[in-house]
Amino acid sequence: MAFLRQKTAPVREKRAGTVGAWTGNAAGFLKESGLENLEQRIRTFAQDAPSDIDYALDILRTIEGLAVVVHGPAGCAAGLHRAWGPSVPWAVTNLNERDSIMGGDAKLRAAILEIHKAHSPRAVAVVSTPVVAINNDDIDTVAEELREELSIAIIPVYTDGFRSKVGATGQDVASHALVKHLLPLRRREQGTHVNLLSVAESRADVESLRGLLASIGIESFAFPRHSSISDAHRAVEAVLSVPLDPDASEYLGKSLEEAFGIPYSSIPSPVGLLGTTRWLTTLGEVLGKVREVDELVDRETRKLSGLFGASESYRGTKVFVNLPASQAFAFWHLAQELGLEVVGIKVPSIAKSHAAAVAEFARQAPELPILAGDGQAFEEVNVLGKIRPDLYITAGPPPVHALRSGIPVLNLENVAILGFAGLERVARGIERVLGNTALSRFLAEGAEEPYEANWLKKSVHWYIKQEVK
Amino acid sequence: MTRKAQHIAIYGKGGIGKSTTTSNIAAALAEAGYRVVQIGCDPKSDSTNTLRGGNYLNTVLDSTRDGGKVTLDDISAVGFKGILCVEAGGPVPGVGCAGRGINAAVSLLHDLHLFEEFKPDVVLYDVLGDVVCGGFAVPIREGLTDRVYVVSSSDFMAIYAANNLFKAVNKYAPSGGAKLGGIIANGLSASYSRALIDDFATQTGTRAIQYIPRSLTVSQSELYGQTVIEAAPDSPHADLYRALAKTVAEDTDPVIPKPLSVNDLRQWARNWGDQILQEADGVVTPQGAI
Repeated sequence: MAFLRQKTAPVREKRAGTVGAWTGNAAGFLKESGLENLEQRIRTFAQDAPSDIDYALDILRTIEGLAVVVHGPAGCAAGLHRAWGPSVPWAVTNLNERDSIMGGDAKLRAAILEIHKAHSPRAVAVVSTPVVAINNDDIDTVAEELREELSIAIIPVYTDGFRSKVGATGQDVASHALVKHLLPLRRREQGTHVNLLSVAESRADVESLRGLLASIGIESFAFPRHSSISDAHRAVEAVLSVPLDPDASEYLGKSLEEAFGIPYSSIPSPVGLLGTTRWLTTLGEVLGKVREVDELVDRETRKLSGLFGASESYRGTKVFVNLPASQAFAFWHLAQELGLEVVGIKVPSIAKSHAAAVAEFARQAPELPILAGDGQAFEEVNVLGKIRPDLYITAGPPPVHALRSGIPVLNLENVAILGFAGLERVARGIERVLGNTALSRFLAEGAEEPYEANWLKKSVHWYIKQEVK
Repeated sequence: MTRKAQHIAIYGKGGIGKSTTTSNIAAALAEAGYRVVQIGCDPKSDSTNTLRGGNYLNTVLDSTRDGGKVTLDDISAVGFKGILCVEAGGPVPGVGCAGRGINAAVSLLHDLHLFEEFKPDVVLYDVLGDVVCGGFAVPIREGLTDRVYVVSSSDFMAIYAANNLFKAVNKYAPSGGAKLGGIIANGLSASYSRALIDDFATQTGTRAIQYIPRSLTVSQSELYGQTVIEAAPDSPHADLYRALAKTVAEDTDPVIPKPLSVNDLRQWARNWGDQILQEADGVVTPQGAI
């Protein structure tokens, strides 16, 4: 791979053939992805979407002992305040017009020194922004000098907001920076633990899986989300790295493999009974814990059997799923387990590598609509109007447009959905939301449609075009 | 004089003699009684050196550094025959964005009401090299200047830079940007220089307004830190600059140039290469006289 020798990670489009705009159905996706990489599309009408800076900040803001300096105009730090805001000290260099002309290196230096004085962080991440990328501010030299002066890791994160059309590139850029500038150069000890590569998951999800692994004697630590700088060395001492979301953490896993020889095992997300069983079984085989895993799966499956009986209240519910691709496709099986019918899937981005996951349900549901796009409320409103689901399931910014269309929403942002317990939590969530749909009914009453009727009559792919070169 | 100020931008490839030409035009105009402002739009900040004895002048962008109140006196100096000299300034090499600097400096000059207070007849903008980004095109955009001139020698790279400037003028002129006054042919030394520039002008629908041969007088004046008008007022070159200044000030017929495409420009250059070779070899053809 040899990516780590580069200044930063390649864009997702190049590395994984990821496409940020795609629409069609399951069979169509298989047909196209069976050829070469998916053709890149462009949007002739686009709405807001998170950038690579947002994705990178979403990782950095959870690392204990780290301070984050956003090097850019004040607004560029807004990404830190998604959901509940950062749990780490942060600063923004607040570049003004003069800095954009004369260079902002001095301000960056001052900000790092200031945050170091105020919070004594064990490492500082410097997140680059579009202004800095255009100006070519010399972050490297400032980082180099202050590493020596302060004796802590200074981690340049080269996000720029425009290099990639796929915001998730920011996950790779942050992973690249952390592996290259935070982790020790070589491992001192060989541990027995496993790296749980968490790039996008909630703390509850991570803790839930750690508990599951601990119950069969496998010690694990999360990295990089919800990790701490003081424990970062553990990441290089692990016996194995496993993803919670193979799309988000593939670059990180392969970087750790390249730099420290830690094997990376790409397994689909542990979502639902089937997904979690598959995830644990693969892990058990690699770590020689097959018997323990089998026993655990038996035990947990028995516990969940009561759940399947209780699911009558929502059996046959038509759900629209908007989750990261690896979770969304795994969710198909979870829905089957709970007796739900998935009638549409939206993912932020999609790639040829998802063909195997889609193939698992394409035979049963060849016409299932798949829409790839981050944000893009209009495309969603359009597709929701055509398929009219009973329930919208997501884990992120609240989809107000769905509620206004009268569709109840289950937001899993604060719900751990991974592992066996996730199945139960999703089931309870569905029961809760369907038990009281007053909010969506209230919002739908008298809601003015933000889009013209003739727009909504257009096909979902109206504004998604293949690039003509 | 009560006429409205004329704003004139002078462009050209680096090292081609823009500042020398601009300063001599400014000096000749001042000598003829015009009130002149010369604004150097180059981070090197040396456009107006020969007009004011070569002392360092606090640049417009320097003055914004401390965030304090800036006055016109802080960022200007009065030079030869009352010419008001201003340097936009910019970042040190390798840092920041000089193009944005030009933009900001010009805005600040407007905020300071430079033109209302000084009431110039002619404002000359001496702009760095090729049009390298949107910032350097600021003086020819949005109606800031009335006319633009390009200084060029008969070297291909200078012609190439001139052609690029024509592209920018061509782009902005229809929406109120400056039109092209013409080419100032400078540093001419070869027998074919004048013919080559004339041909380029014809090809692009413009004209050469003055031809300035390479000269010791110019180099010598530069070394003395003065314009030719000041150092050698009776020299033939001083008269060339006076004539040029008169043409520039009285020009009322600027055009929108028709730049050549990259391929056409290369082909045109190749044809000239062939002709020059034939001249060196002594080949005589009916159309070959240059």
